[in-house]
Amino acid sequence: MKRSLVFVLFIVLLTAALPAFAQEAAPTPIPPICTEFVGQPDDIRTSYYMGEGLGFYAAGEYSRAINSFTCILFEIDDAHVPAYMGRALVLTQRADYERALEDYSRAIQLQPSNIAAHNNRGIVYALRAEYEESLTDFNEALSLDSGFVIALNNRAVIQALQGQYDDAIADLESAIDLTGIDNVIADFRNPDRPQNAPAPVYAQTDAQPYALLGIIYSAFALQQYQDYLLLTGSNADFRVQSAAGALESRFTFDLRLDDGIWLLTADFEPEG
Amino acid sequence: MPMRRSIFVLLALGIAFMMLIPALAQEASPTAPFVEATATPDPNLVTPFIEATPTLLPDVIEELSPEVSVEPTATPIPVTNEECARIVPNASASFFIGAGDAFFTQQDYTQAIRIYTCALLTDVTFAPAYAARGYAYFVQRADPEALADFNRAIELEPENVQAYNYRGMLYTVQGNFGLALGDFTVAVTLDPTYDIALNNRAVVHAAEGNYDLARDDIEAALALNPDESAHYATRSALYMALALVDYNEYRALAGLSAPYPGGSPRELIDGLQSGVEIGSFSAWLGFLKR
Repeated sequence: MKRSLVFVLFIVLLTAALPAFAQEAAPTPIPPICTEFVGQPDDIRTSYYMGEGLGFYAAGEYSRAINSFTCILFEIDDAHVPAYMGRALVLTQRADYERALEDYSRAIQLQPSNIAAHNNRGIVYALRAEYEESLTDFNEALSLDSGFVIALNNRAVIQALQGQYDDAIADLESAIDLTGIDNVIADFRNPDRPQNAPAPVYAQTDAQPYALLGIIYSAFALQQYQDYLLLTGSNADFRVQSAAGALESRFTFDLRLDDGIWLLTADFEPEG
Repeated sequence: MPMRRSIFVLLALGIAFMMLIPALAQEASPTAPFVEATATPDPNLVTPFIEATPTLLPDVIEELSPEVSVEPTATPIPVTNEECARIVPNASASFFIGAGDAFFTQQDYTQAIRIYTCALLTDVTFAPAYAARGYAYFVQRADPEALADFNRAIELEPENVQAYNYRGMLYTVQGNFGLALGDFTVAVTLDPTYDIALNNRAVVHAAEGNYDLARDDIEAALALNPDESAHYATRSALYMALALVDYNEYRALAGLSAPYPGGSPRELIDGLQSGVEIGSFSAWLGFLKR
């Protein structure tokens, strides 16, 4: 009887210890292969691997890009924020969100005022449908720089996803005011504009708020149509039925805001 | 007969040597040109490069000293400071070498040359950039451009062993064995642990029929770096060349009509290989002599 009790106790202890064993069995990270500019000053090696990493990233060679950034962190400087940022970009592209979050969080830990890191981490949270965390990061980015248009756009997307349309519209209108992109539109539409006038200079991303406003107003329109259809039932005007159906389809597929493609990445400027 | 043997040996060694040329180019896969990749919005949000709009190219362009002149080549690939700044403003020369290497690895040599040229626009005295670009030219057999770049790298940095090795490879491919041996020897003198240069010098010795010297070099290379697969390729080619020497000696002594005990050389190699795979010694039995 006493022996059985000891045996049961042993099993209980063993079971309790299992998670610890499981933790120990976690795979060891594979050391990167870093054979270039060996013996050269750290700044040259760091710069080389930043270039190599971004080159591989641009070429779609994500594993090699990760290796390059890891070379910096593993062999040269484990506190090099641009390397964490670069690796996180690649990990995001590979949909390895868990590790991307780790890298962005480390970048933020090392450099709390890094707006791009907050913004990009917000994007990763959004891709994981963790909208509260996402909003927190976009808010933080905007508290660091209230004129950071990209974060305004991104926050608007999250707000729209949560049904906070008024807040989203306010952010998008702020973005338009900040960039002055409405003046570019006015310039384009000016009937007196000479045909050979030079094209106005603006960033493509500055046009994004108009696309998002269009989506939000379309959502409003759909809501109005659906109210009308609810009231009229089978007697509804077939043109409105058709328009509502088309919009509903759009919001199910190409205009849905929760697939991440309406979010903008930060202007991450890698160090050379 | 000696002529035929030499051709055979050169062919075997040539194949081994050519295996070394694309050492950096490991996989072929389609690539987007660097600059274009920055201009195309990425549907998955991640675009690390600056947008290719004039507003985002501030005073950086002036800072990159437009007066600098890059060593002229016969067929230059035009690259401007603006294009380089569009990749990453204010990037250092080593950054561009890294980026160029990434494209070289993809076998996108033209794009690699463009980016290496950015390194030279950034720092016209950076020898590794000439060496890297020269090698990209060399792989495309743009020999004059490659040679000009290797010469410039060595001029700027007389102890750049990689540049000597690359120039030695170029001379070897051109059949200038004397110059090639000179460069490989300088490389291993400057860096006695540079096993690749030893490997390459072994190839040149073998190509010249100096098998003993070739064996010394390839054994030294293997002793320095037993994990380098190219060394085993070279040594196996050398052994094949040595085998042919004895095979032809056998035929000269036994007469052309005498059967070779192991069959033809190809049959013998097949027999030996299958013997290794299945644990059979039968391929050797024909060589027993009463």
